[in-house]
Amino acid sequence: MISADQHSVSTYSGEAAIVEIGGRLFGIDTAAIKSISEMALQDERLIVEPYFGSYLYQGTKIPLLNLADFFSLKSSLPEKIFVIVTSTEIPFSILVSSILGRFRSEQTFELPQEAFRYPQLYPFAFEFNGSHLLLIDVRRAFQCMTEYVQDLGQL
Amino acid sequence: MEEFFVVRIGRFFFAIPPEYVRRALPVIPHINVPLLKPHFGGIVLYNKRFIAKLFLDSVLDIDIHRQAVTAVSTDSTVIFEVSGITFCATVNEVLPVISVEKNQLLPIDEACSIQEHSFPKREYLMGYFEYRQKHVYILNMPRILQEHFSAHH
Repeated sequence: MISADQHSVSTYSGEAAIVEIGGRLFGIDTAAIKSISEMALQDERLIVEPYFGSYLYQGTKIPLLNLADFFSLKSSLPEKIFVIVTSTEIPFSILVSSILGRFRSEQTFELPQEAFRYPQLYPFAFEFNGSHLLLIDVRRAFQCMTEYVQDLGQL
Repeated sequence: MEEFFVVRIGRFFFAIPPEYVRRALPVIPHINVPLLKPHFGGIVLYNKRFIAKLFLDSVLDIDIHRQAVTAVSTDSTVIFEVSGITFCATVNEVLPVISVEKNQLLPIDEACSIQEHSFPKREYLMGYFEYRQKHVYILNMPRILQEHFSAHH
C-alpha cells in the first residue's frame, strides 16, 4: 500500500537506508544520499559537536548534524561511525552510529503530524523486520535543528 | 437524558460524550517518537495508519495508577475521534455507558472536591454529575484537541 500522501509519493524513492542514531533505527531516503563514508570517530576530518559539528568533504567544511542530540537519544558513539553526505543543493552531512543497509519499503504508513513538534520531520513510517521505522526528511531535519539551536541561542 | 462513555484514570472518573469515542481496546503499546509535543506518549498503529497516543493523565495533571506486574490489568486503550482527528489514550478502566438526566448535570464550580490539592485541570472539564456516590467529570474533548493538536509552525 503506497501512502495516499501525494507529497511523500512524489518525493520518496521507495528505498531507504536503515541507519542507527542514538541507539534507534530510522530510515533515510537513498535519493537524499550522495555518499556514505565509514571513518574513525577521531578522524581529523570530523568535528563532532552537540547538534552541529563539521565534516571536511572534498576540501570544504560542511555542517555535520548530530541528530542523536536533537532527538534527545543519549548514546555513546562507537569508535567507527558513518557520515552520510546529502544530495541536497547545498550538501550537509549526518552522523550515524551504524548503517544496516538499503531496504525497499513496500508499505508506508501515515503519521499523526499534528502530534509532532516539527511536522513532516518524519513524512511517514515504513515496515521493517517486523517493526515500524520512521523515515527522516533530511532537509526538514536540517531546517528544524537550525531553528531549535537558534532558539537556544547557540547559533 | 444524556449518555456518556465513562472511564477511570487514576482515582478520577471521567465522562465523554459518546460521539467522540470510536472504540475501547486492550492496551495497544505505543512506539516512542523523538520530538513529540508535550503530553504525547508516542504513536500507535490503528487501522493501517499511526495515530497519536495522548497521555490524558498528564493533560489533566493527575496520577495514572500503574498496575503492579502481578495484578490483573483493567487498563484499556480508548480510540477517540474529535473534529476528524483520531487519537488514543490509555485509561485505567472502562465502565458501562451511563445515562444521566440533564438536570443532574452540574457546573464544575459546584464540585466540592475542586479545592483538593490533586484535582483534574478545570479548563478541560465541562461539568460533572454524581453516579453511585462518585463524582464523574465531563471532559471537554474539543478543547483538549484544540490545545494539544493545533499546528504551531
